[in-house]
Amino acid sequence: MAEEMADMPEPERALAGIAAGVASVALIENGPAAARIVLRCRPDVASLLGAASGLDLGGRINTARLAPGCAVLKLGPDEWLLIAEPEADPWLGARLGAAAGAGAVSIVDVSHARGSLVVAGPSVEAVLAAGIALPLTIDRFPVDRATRTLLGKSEVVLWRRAPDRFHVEVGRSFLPYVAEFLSLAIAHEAAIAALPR
Amino acid sequence: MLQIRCPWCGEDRPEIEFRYAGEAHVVRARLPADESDAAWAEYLYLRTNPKGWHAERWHHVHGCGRFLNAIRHTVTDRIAVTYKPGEPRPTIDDQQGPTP
Ligand SMILES: [Zn+2]
Repeated sequence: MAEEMADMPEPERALAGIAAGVASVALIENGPAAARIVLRCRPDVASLLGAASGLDLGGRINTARLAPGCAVLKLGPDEWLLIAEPEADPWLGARLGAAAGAGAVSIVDVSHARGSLVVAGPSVEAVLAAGIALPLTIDRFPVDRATRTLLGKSEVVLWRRAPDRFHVEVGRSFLPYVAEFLSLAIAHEAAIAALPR
Repeated sequence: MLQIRCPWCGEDRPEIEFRYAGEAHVVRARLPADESDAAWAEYLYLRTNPKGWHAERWHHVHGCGRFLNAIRHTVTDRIAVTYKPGEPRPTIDDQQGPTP
């Protein structure tokens, strides 16, 4: 078993051996395999780059936009996290580089530096609130809001995909910690729900 | 937990997302080698350390990643205003401060 686990890629290993949740509260799954790029440039370069690459880099800070095959998360005034299908790995960076032309940009492939978890269920807000200090109700944190924040002691990128479903991007060495944190939070919520009223 | 308004994010964010980064508006000399020892020592080591409103830098390190300035009261911890680096220091009417 231990050897089998060692053979697994780290993101898949994060959930090995932990309870993946309670259906009446929330369930944790590994996020899909993805290519990830951190793009940084000034806003004037971003509008040129967006037009030339076909990616929508406009939009408000701390929101996500979906393009075919690629999500664009604006995490800072000059920073975007692009989450794309794994096949995008070789060409997306190259396309952005070509589109940048002479503009000063930073394009960093972080595909293998991160992993992701998907947390979904009727009590997903309460589960995440065990470790996140942001308001997570649907009016304060609506669908396609995306931001960097802290979950417990780990930095994460939190992206609401649906009223009851969140995507959590995590540095890969923090994946087991975050998975276990959420698993315990779910168990805690389930225990509270089971208390006699 | 303090809620700190990030001027880049445009909203209040929890204190734990931020890191303190020292007094604001401390200007580094263009040519440090031309500074007198006294002036350079003042730049390096001497801060205003007021009891009252203080202009200071914060870093939204676990959020948008940007630096910002805040006017914070060193007795009450109240933050009167935050603003982007490069903007002038706002004057704070002392009456705006809550009584300690
Ligand atoms: Zn911010």
